[in-house]
Parts: sequence; C-alpha cells; structure tokens
Amino acid sequence: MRLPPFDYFRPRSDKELCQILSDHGRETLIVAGGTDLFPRMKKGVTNKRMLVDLKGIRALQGVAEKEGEFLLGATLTLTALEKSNKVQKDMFALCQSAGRVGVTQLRNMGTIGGNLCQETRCWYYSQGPFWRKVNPPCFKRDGDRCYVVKGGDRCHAMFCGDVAPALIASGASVILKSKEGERRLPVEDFYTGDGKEPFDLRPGEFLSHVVIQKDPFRKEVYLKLTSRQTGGFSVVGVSASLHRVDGYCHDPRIAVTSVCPKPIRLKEAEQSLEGKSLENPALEDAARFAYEEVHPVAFMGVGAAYRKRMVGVMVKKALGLLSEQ
Amino acid sequence: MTEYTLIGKNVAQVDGRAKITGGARFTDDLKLEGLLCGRLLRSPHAHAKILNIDTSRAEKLKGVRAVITGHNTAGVKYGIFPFTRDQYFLPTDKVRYIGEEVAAVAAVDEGAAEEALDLIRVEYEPLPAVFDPEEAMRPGAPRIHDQVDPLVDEFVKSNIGVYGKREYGNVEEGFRQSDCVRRERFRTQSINHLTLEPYGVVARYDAYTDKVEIWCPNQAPFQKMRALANLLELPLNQVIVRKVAIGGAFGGRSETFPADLAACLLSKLTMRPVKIRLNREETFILRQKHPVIIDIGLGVKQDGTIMAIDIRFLSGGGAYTSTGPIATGFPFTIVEAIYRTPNIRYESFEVYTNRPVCGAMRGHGGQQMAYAMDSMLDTVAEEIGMDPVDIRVKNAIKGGERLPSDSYVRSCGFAECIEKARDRIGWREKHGRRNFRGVGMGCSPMISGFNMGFRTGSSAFIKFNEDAEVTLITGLIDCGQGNETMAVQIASEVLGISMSHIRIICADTELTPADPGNYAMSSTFVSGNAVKAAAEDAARQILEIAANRLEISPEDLELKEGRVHVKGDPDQGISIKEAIREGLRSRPVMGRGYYMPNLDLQTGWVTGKLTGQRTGAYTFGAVTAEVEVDPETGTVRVLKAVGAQDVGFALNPMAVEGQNEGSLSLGQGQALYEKIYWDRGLMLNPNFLDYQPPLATDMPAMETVIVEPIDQDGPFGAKEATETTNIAVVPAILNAIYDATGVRIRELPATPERILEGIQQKKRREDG
Repeated sequence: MRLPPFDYFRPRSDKELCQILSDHGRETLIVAGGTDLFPRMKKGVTNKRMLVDLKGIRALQGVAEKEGEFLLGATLTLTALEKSNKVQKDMFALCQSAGRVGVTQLRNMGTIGGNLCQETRCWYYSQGPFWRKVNPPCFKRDGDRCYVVKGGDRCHAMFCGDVAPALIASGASVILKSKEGERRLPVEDFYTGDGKEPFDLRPGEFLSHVVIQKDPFRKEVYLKLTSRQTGGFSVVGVSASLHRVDGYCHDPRIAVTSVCPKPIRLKEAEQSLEGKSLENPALEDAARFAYEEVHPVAFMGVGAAYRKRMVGVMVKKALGLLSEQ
Repeated sequence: MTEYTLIGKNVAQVDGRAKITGGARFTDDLKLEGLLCGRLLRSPHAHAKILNIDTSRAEKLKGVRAVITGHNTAGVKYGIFPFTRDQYFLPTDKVRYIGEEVAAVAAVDEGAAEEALDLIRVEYEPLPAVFDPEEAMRPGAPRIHDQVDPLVDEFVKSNIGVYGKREYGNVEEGFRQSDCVRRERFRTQSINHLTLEPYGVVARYDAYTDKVEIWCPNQAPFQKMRALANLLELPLNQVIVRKVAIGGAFGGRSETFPADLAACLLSKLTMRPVKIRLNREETFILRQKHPVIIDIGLGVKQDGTIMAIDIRFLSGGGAYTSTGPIATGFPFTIVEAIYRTPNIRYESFEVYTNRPVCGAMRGHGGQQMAYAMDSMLDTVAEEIGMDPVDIRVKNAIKGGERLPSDSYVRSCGFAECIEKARDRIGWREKHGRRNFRGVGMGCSPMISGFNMGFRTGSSAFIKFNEDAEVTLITGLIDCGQGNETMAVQIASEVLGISMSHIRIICADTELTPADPGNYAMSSTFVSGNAVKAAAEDAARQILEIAANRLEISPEDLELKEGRVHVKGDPDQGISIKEAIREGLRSRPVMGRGYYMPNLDLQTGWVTGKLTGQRTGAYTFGAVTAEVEVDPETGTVRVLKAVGAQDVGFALNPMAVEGQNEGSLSLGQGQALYEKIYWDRGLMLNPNFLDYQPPLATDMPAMETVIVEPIDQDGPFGAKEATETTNIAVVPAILNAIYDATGVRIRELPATPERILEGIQQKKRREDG
C-alpha cells in the first residue's frame, strides 16, 4: 500500500497556519508525526488530500514554563516527553503514558498533539479498500449503520490514545486556535463521545498546546493493560492522580481509555475516594464504582465483560501504586 | 564418533551476507524491462453465483494492457491430489469466499491497474453461506460444491471435502480395560503464517523460446511447475520456476495460487512481464491454518499405561480442499508415533465453509492434535495421581518399535528429550505449586519427508570447473531455514573443499534436477542425502584419477583441504585441482547423486493403503515451559522454554538453535495470542497491528537441547530439526497454565479473558 498523491503545506507560523485552515477548512488533514494519519491515507480510510504540516512552526515545539504552568507544544514528540527530565518530575503519569504508546519508532515520530487527536478505531472501519467494499458504509463513513453494535444508532469506534487519560487525571487543558482566536478546554471536554466526530474541533481550528498546572504534590500514575508485553493498543488504560493530606486522599482524578469513543473520567470512583485513607476497603470501593461506571461493548477481540472487569482491576492496581508512593 | 572437518560445527549461512547487506533479491525487487503491474479483482461475497462479468470499460482505460477472467483460462481445475481438484482459478460459475479472485488486470502502473479493477462489473446473485464446519455438515446447509468426483459425492452433499477413518486394535475393548477414561473437546483457531514478505509473483512469457518463467516465494518449485503446466496445458519444459530469495514460508508458500496463473496468462497476452504483488491483507487471505474441533477420548491403566485413544478430528477447511487430506490425515501420525497405544481410532473430516482456503502451515495439524493429546494426558495423569513427566516416560515410543500403522521407528532419542527438558526447566522444584507460576510439558514426533510417489526423491549434480571451484546443482529450495548452507556444508565435507569454494544453483526447475521441496521437513534428509551422494560420486572419481597418477589404490587415499593424498600423510598426494585438470583430458569429474527414502510409496493419507512405512526417519521432541499468570487480569508471561529435540545428528548446531527459537516463538503465538477474527465470511484483523503476534519482548528465555541418536539413513546421521518443538510448545504452555492456575483451557488461544474466566469459575466452584 502506498500513499495516494496529496498537496502539502508547511506553514512557518501560527498565523499562516490559521489562514490555510480558514481557506481550506474541512479539506485539510493536519499532520505532525504522521504515525496515525499515514496508515489511514494508505488504506484510503480518509479521502482528504491536503496535508498541513505543523512541524515547521517553532511556536508549537518544546516545553515552556510560565506562571505556574507548563505549556507543551503540540508537536512535542512522545519520545521527548518520555525522556525529558524536566517533565518527568512534574508530569509523571504523562511521561509514563507517552512511554507506553506503540513501539519506539512510533514514539520517535508521534507527538502529544497527534496522540490526543488519534482517530477512533474499529475493525470494520480501519481497513483497506477491499475490506470496506464488502459491506455497505457505516456511520463513520457517512453510512447508516454500525457493525460493532448491530442495530446501534451511532458510531462505536473506540478512542485508544494513551496520553489523554493521563492528561485528564492531571487536570490538563488544551489550547485550540483558529483565525478567529483561541479557546481553552479541559482535556476531557475536548472529546465528544461520538465515534464519528470524536473531537471538539471547529472548522479552521487546530490543537496548538497542552497546558498543565504545576502541582508538585500531586501523585499520579498511568497503567496500560495490553495482551502482549509491549506494543499495540490497550485493552484498558487507566490514569489516577491525587493529593494525600495527612494520609487522606484529596481531589482524586481517575480517567480511562479504550472503553468507548472517548477517554472518560470516572467521577463516582473519584468521589468515593475523597477524604478516605488509601487502603482497603476504599480502594476496592473505588474499583467497584469504576467498574459500574463503564459500559464497554464487545470489540476488537476483547469481550465486553472482560474489558469492564479490567477497568476495575486496573483502577485498583493504579490506586494501590499511589498508596505506596 | 567419526571426526568431521565441518559437519557438526557451527557454520554461517552462505546467503547470510547478501541478506544482511541488502544484496539478496526478493520477488518484489525484480525489475524486468517493460514490467507491467498486475492486480486481482476479488469477490465481496462469501457465496454467490456469478451472472455476468463485464470487463469492457476496464479494457478501454488508458494504461490498461490486458484484462482476464476465467474465460481466458484453459478451464482446468486445481487441486493437490488427483482426487481433490475442486478449484477453478478465476471461477466463472460462482464465488465461494470473500476475497476469491474473479478477474485480473495488467496495466502500466499501479494506479491504472487499481482504477481498472473498479471498472470491472461483476453481477452476482448472493447465495446463503455457511461458516462453521459443524453447521456446514448439517442437513439443509448451503451446499458449497456441486460437481465433484462421484466417489466422494456422498460426502460433498454434506460439504465434507475429505473424510478418513482408521482403527488399529479394538478401541472399545481398550477403554473397558482402562481404569480411567476421559473424553473432552478441544478447539483451535485459524491463524496466519505471517511471512515477513507478502506474497507476489512475476511472470515473463518469452515468445522466442515459447517458455513462461515465474519468480515467486515458494517451497516446492517442482510442484508449482507441474501445477502451472497443468493449468496452462503446457509441457514441463516450457514452464520454468526460477529461483529468488524468499522471505519466509512456514507452509504458506507450498501451493500454486490464482495470482500465479493470472500473471502467466497476462504476460502471455501482453507479451510483457507482469508482476502481481499482494498486500498484507491479501496475503492473510491467501492461506490460513485449519481451525479444528477435536473430540478425544483417552483411557489409561492405574499405572499410567495408555490403553486406548479415540479421536474425531473435524477441520474447517474453507472453500477449497487444498492440503485437506494431509491436514486431516497427518495429525494421526502425531498421535501414533509419540505414545505407545495398542488401540487407536482416528476419524477425520475436512469440511468446506465459505471462508478463505486453509492450507499447510508448520505442523500441519500437529499443533492442534498435540494440544488435545498432551492436555488429555496431563488430565488423566492427575486423575490417577501420576506426574505428567512420568506418564510420558512410561508410554514413550522407543527406537525399534513398530507403530500401529506398521511404520517402523529406527533411531529414537525421545526418552532423553523428555528427561533433559524436564531437568532444564527445574521440574521437580517447580511443578505442582499452583501459585500462579507453573511448568508444563508437551511432546511431539515428526517425520523427515513423506510419500509423494516417484516425486519423493531428490537428485543433485556436482560440477567442477577447471580451477577446481565447484558448482553444486540441486533442486532443493531455501526459504530462510538454511537449506543452501546445509547442502554446501555437506558437499564441502565430502569433497574436502572449503565451503567458500562451492557455489550453489538451486530451486530452478529448468537448471536443476527435481526435488520434492520443503514438504514435511524433508530437505536435510532427502535433498541433503542426494547432495551427499553426488559429492561422493565426484569424490570417487577424483580418488580414481589421483590413484592412477600416484599408482596406489583409491581406498588408501582421502580428500582433505583441497588435496587428495594418502590417508594420514598429506605430503604424499596431489591437489584436487591437478586431479580435475588431469580428468579433463580423458574422464571429466561429474558427480551425480540421487536419494529416495526407504518408505512405502503405496501409503495414503486418508485413502489408499493405511499401513506401511510412512517416512524415512522419525524425530521426537519435548518442550517444557514455565509461565507466570496474573490472577487478576489473566495475562500470561512465558518465563522460560526449553526445546529438546532428537535431530539424529546436528549438522550445524547454530542453525538448529535458530530454528528451535523460531519454532518456540511461532508456537507461543498460536498458544497465547494469535487469532483471526471473523464476522461471518469477513476477516476482521488481517494486519500485524490487530492480529497481535508475540513480539521480541514477549519471548521467554529459550534453551535448545540437541539429542543425537545417529540415524543410519540420514546424511551423517541427521534427520529433521525442530518441527517437533514448534508443535510441542503449544501443549507445554497450556499445561504450564494449568499447573499455575488449575485452569484447563480447551480453546486456543489461551487469552487472558479465557484464563480469567477459568480462574473465576474455579473460585466459584471452590467457594461452593
């Protein structure tokens, strides 16, 4: 499989980028590392042919620190995140999650922005041209059905990104820019929950930065359950973070990925932990709430009941690790 | 033991340097003048009548040079056996699986070829389809094949493509004499070979010589030549399979495919070479391993003696028979040649379904069978309170035994394999703890070549150039396992000429003599013996020339380090070069050799004679594995695997070790991770990302134990190497999971989900 012909833009500034996106709007594909996009183009999953490369824009690179915030450029590579000492100390779960994405080569190319905007996946949708011809189009391809949930009324393609849950658990936000200006959204609000249009991106808008509040006393962790030791998408990815005040849990945040079309916060599990000592039965209660809060469907080789159970198990493991810190 | 110069020593692969430096040329690297791009149009229906195929719009497209359908073929059916010819390449009557080839185009570039496919209009009338072999056998199920051999028509009405039954002794009586009888059902999944090289073929028709040449990854050039000659209705000297570097085969390259025929026909029509390159998805549907359902009954005495085995082996074969008779017949060998069994019954079915075609894959039914057999053996051992290793030792086949089918086992190092595999894993300290860490054992026999009629044998030539540099000519083929190195090493040892002075020509049906190909692990035993015979023939001629010159008897001379000299006295002699030059004056040195294994050429897999010698030599292997299971997630980590195999004699121990490690990882994939998921007839995960084979990080510490009971017929005593460990590692891992958790997984792969469910069920049972 080869890449189809495409037009290529490499703007040098935010302003230039905004103009291109404003002019061509929905025709464009934003690319940074290309690890998620190029395979989709090769398979013909997307028909758009106008690439806009973010890597030429200096403002979108690297890590800046100001007024108690970290500002991470969208094109910061996952390897840079994983290896950066500066970030490691303050954003432990984020670095862990970046280090668990795919394999080394993908992390070298892949970026934080790209991972947040990773396309939702599905074994019916994410296939080559012949495979897609066999069945009439599904919601994701502007059709009228879903093959994962037969008779379902919406797209169930799954969000599997690793970085998003870690950022949600850290209370991070994204900055979205366009010619009209910029807005700031908590990461969990960036996702719509609709497998077909998974991101809250308006026409002409792009994800420029991730903002994380400095919070040196927050403890956090990311755990990824995969069927193999490394590589591939998660069965379940869980991130948890919290403060410990006199041994009691304060402001816990828990997020999971690979359960539905968006990464989700498990608020009931969080609430159950507030003010509790980090030990049983509080951990088990939180795990039970987490289990109750997710409603996965049987998907991509993993049964619904197993995935649901694993959310509980991984939340408990994550909290267990935090209790030891 | 005889002292050899090279044999038994680690030698580097002769093609290793070229492969590492990028010098080896694979099919897709071939750039022939005027090369056209070929593409195949595939059926989107699992089962449908073809009403009409309209290629007119495609033919008119700019850049398109030819479009063909089944109407352009000679209308000859393909099948491996005369009684299994059930497949039209590019059918015109109906399609039987999603992905079946119905037309092909050749165009000046990929873009035009793909566009042309979109312009071909095929009218289909969809038919009811069936995907599960048991459903396919039920009355009223959609019938997949209509016209077939009247001999088997009765079965084909029930979609049974291949049926076999054999019984030795009296199974019912054997069960009556048993103290413990257990019956279980096991299921296995369909998996893919995952050759790193996707399939592809280049064909070039030459009008001047009226020959068609093809290059493609293949395991048996002479079989491919014959099948293609049949389909093209050409004599064998006009269909030439050329040699090309091959990126893995594992059984999946052993047949002839519609792409091969299409490339030949397109080349003939356009008078230009044509390349058809399959992508990864297409390579996935090219062939899969048979998914099977095995019902097995096992009866043992209280002392562990096996009294009876009763097996029903039901295999879902996909839309065409392919290797069905072997895939369903061979597993019987895995049972009869491993544990002594006085009474054994084996009934096998290959059932047609509307899925892509299943064919050969390493083990060829062996993994499935050994998984069921060795799981059952552990089950009954536990019931009678016997250690799994002890029950294996008690029943292990020994050298000098005759199997139930009257096949004779000559050399046999099985007992030593069991003991060494047991000790290297630390069995005594580790077995029986049930603390989510456990060890397990699996065993398997293998054959070194099987009956292919007069095609069972191999021939080879040795040619000397006047500077005494050697050209070795053999039909054998190397798919990456090191066969070329093996052949050169053998010739080098016999001729007393270092490997660097020998060049090999192989796997070319025009230039080399015939060879059975990489079937049933025959290359070392059969082709290697032929090379040895050719080298010995040449050596004898050299000795005679030198003896004449030195006026001494040839028996008193030997060949060593490029010289022919008096035994034990290197100074009294001449160089081989001198002998060769001398020979050119009157009787040039030309070595030729042939080897036909000593087996019964009347034996069949499911038809014909069911008793008699099945192979030139049996091999045996035992694998032990240690695993750790996460009780909360069900995830398995294989910590260590020991593969012990009787290889007769290891010609190149390093190559055996490499093969063994490949075998263990392949089997581990089948045991734990790999599975093709389906939605009716549609394959859902035809790519590496979603198929999830094990990666380097999943590999355990691996140990290779070589057991060497010299086989009198093998070249230097050698037999097949490490197919047994590839099979035995599957039950070894599953038995280790049982040892760790008390959970018996009866369906492959043993996913975390299945293991966790087992752990939960067991807990519920124990909690009452």
